[in-house]
Amino acid sequence: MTEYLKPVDRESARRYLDEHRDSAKIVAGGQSLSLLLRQGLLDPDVMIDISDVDEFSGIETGPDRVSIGAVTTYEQLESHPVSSTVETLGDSVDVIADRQVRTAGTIGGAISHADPSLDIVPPLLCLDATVRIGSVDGERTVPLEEFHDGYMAADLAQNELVEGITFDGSASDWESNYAKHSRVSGGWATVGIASRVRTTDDRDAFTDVRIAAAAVGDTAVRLSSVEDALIGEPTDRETVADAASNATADIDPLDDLSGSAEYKKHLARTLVERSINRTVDRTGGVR
Amino acid sequence: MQTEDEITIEAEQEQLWALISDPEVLVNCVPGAKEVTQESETEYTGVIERSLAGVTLSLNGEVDMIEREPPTYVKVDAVGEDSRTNSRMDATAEMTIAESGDGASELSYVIDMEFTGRLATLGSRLVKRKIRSDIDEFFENVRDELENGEAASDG
Amino acid sequence: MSRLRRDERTVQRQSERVVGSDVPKIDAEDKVAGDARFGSDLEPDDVLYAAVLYSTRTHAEIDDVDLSPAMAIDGVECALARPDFMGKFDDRVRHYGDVIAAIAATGPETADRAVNAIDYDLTPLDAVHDAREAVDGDAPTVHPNNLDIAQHAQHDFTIENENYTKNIDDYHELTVGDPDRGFEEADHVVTGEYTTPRVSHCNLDTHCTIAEWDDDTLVLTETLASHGRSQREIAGFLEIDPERVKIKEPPSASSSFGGRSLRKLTVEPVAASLAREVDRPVRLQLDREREFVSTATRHQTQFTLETGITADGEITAMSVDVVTDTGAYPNGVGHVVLKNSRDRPLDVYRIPNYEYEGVAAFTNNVPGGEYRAIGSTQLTFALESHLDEVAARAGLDRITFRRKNLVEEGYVRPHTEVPIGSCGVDDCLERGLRRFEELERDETGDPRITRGWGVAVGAHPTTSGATSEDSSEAILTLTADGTVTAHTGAVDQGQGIDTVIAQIVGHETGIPTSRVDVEPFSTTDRFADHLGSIASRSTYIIGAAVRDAAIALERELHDRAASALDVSADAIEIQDGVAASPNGEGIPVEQLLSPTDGDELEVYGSASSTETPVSYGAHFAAVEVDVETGDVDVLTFVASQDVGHAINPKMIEGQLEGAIQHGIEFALYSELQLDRGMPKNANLADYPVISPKEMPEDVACEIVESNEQSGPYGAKGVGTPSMPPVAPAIMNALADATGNRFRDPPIDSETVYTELSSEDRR
Repeated sequence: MTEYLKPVDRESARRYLDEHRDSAKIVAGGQSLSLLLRQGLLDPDVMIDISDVDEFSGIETGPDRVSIGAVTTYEQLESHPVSSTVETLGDSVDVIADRQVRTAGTIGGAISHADPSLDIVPPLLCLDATVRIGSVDGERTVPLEEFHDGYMAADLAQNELVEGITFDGSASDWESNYAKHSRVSGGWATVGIASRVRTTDDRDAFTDVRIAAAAVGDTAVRLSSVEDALIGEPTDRETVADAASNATADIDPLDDLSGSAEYKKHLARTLVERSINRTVDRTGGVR
Repeated sequence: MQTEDEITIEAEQEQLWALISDPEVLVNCVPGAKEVTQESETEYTGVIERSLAGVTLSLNGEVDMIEREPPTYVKVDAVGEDSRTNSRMDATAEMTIAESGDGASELSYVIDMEFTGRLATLGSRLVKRKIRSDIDEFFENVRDELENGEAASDG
Repeated sequence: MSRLRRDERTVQRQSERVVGSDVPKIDAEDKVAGDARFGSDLEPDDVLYAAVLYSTRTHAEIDDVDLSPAMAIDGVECALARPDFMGKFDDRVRHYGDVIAAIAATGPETADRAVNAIDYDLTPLDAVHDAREAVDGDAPTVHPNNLDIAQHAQHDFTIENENYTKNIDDYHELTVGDPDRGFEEADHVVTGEYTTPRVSHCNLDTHCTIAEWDDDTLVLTETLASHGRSQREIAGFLEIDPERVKIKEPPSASSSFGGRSLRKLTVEPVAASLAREVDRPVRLQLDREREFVSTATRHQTQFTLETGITADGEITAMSVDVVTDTGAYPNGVGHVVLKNSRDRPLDVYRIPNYEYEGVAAFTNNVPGGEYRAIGSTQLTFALESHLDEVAARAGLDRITFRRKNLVEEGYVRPHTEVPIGSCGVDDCLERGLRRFEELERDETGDPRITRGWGVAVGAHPTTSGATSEDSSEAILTLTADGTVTAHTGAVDQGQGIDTVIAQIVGHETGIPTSRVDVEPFSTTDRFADHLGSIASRSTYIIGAAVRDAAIALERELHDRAASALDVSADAIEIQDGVAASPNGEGIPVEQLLSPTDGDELEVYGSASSTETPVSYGAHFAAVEVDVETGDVDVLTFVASQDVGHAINPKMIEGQLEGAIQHGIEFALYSELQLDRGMPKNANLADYPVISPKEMPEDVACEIVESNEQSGPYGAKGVGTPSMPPVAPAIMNALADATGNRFRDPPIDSETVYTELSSEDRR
């Protein structure tokens, strides 16, 4: 019989986890966990429900920091102004599953689960986000890019949990976008591409670029080959198209129910091109 | 699902053959293999423990080396069952080796693997990547065994 | 993203009273509020919960089953292995999801744990997963030819085709005229091959039955749409008297689309065996994976079509060859797939020379079963795709070509010698096209987008046609509170028959529909209706029986009122439940009950028909293809459907929109993928089901009324006939948009992209 614990604050959450370690599963929205439980694949001794822990909830926006608590739901993120100002976040939440999942599923849950297909991760990668990790031994931060260190694997010790994610949302001269292809609306991504760019004042050239992809690797991945091909380059469509063709170098898709590896590579190039073009269009640049 | 690939191993063909034609060695190279027991000259049983997304599978496995053509070809049948999750894995692996010169050999493999039961329901999307990484690890273990293990010291 | 825009309906109403108006569904409020009680909501106090050990092998012999570890668990009341089940079970499993053993326990978790504790040994057997391979002499044997395990529609057949040797579930052959000569006379002969997918119903509520023995009588509480047939089949399979099986529908029936028409070997006989063993009611519910693999799917079917036409576009000959996959066990409907694919072309087009050969084969795949317009959906996809190709070969316009060859009312079909009754197909085409043109959208100017449009004509008969005569009886009872209760064979699976019944009663008697209750069916001797609610027969036959009873009720109330008010019978009018005389005096109908009635005034009605009127549809689709990704978006869809008479136009619209959804899934999204008989996507995350976002931007329904004489108020069926034209209209639009014919739906974006990009390279 599984023991169900409901800590009221951060200290109790950390303490319970330290006590039970890998016999325990952290749960908030349960959108990834319930599937495994219902199918009898998981039978944890202990479940620690952190959904009511205040310190893990809420979205704080400061002058140079946006901090999202781990138990923030997709729906809460969607209704927060940051989804409108940081379009890659808003675009992404729009296409994640359906309303029921978005009302329960949490950002922290997604990040901990480390499934490379999750749509929320590439936008956070493009935001150079940092994961806040806590335990009875204290706190530490890890760049999201390093946090997922293998397939469905995260850099978390047995007594550690994800407590929040932080990024610098201050720079208002970035524009961003998330583009997704899926079989049916709200389905798993065949390929998902987040892009975030900064251009010169006259919008003629890229000064900084971030691009990340979901569902085409062991983890969500930054497409550095495309980024390198764009930074300092003109923002015209030919350049973007050329740069997008480099996407294949950074990804490793497999044949599966969503499609063949070849098709996904093609989609990645196409969506990278479209995503960047949309982002550039958002800067208001004339092209 | 089917996977095929070729890898180069720094070992002579006879050494590589000695290893891949020995079912006990092969079974021990399987990631997560334990409690390996010999049932007959070509059949071995054991337990394979794998973890994915926090789910631990404990598969009771049987391996049978059904074909052997020295010094180049083996075919192995494997079945693993986890009654807790009513999952089963069936696999057939064919391995062919060839001399590639300079004291190295080329090992090419074709693996045909099926997952059924609850784990398969979870989705081939999840399982595929894990299997591919396990297969990679298996052949890394084979390479390690040869290049650094006991076999390396055989003549 | 798409948004549904409801256009004005064009309907010619014949009546100002209740029949012909948009009465809201009488069960809608309860269902939306969550108050409806479905089969899976029922948990009687003393019920035990069943759990089943399913096979993950596709073909195997059961060597040994050790139930003792399961029986040792506290709360487990009984455990049975397959060879010990009641009835015609043997010791083999023949598909992934077939049953090895079953447990009944005091709680579902206990039952699940017990099932996992069972030890068993299977000897795998050679398996076959392709219908064409299965009928070959060398194939492993799934079953002997024409296996009889008490499923319906068995008939003798002789096969002259030497390629068809074994594993044969059913076979049909038909020759009309002189096909060889017909093809010789043709100026163009076109051949095409088409395959249709294995599709799952994805009903929201999974199969759930409660089995209980009352002495020697088995009572099953569950949604079973064809209850009479199921009753006989279950009894036959369990080897007991048909009178000893009773079906009780739950307060609210679950949705079906054919998925709940018939018994499943993995459900009723298993629950019945446990219930008898333990002498308590046993509740067996399937989880979603089992719903996919252990129930039934649409038959996967392969077609080869050949058509000869003159230079003017007149059909001179047609040949249809069908191979369909019955799967591991017969449900009695392999026969129906063949019969429907055989007859359908002749119901729609004038084909003077015709030949048909069809075989249904046993394989070690998930069983095929009933699914909305069974056989016709598959055939119409193939035929309408094919006719587009034929038209193109002859350089003819797609609509003109079809119109040239369509049947019309009175046309005597060669295979039945029965003339076509009401036939609105030409009207459907004309009105559908006009509406479609009104909805045409401006070009986008985006070079990444290509557009196309397509049309398809389809048909399906009303009522089963499995029997030469269909009949139904109904009882109406008026009680002292003024309520009329209808007792019929109907099962409202969401198609709205209960509402139609209420409308008919209200229409004929003048009693408000809000005072009409439709009682869920429970096996009874009081009236006969053997087919239940399948094959779009409910309105046509059950509705006719209800009408008969309602007219009799009205007559009786009329006479009693005349007597009570002391006026002549002609002077009485019943409205809003009050029988009124011209001078203003009125008497509520419930006060017309007499002491001799007892508590209720009861009247009988009946109806029968030897006809199976065909309902026609002409559907139009416009699609948009993103050439860089291969994504296909259905922009516009016009469903123009001949329903005879629209008793409830709003509900007909609902049926048409639902058919559009099913057809979009069939064409572009949904398939239960089996690899060597093992499912790849037996869950709702991986099995694509569409949402309103995949529905067309613009949907319009044109209701055509051709007035079918044999149907109540002129009505014939709509639920099943609305399905066949949808997918081919979309596929024809896709062919128009891409210049490429796709022959094996569902067609996903990768398939489209691959085709488009390979053309570019050439």
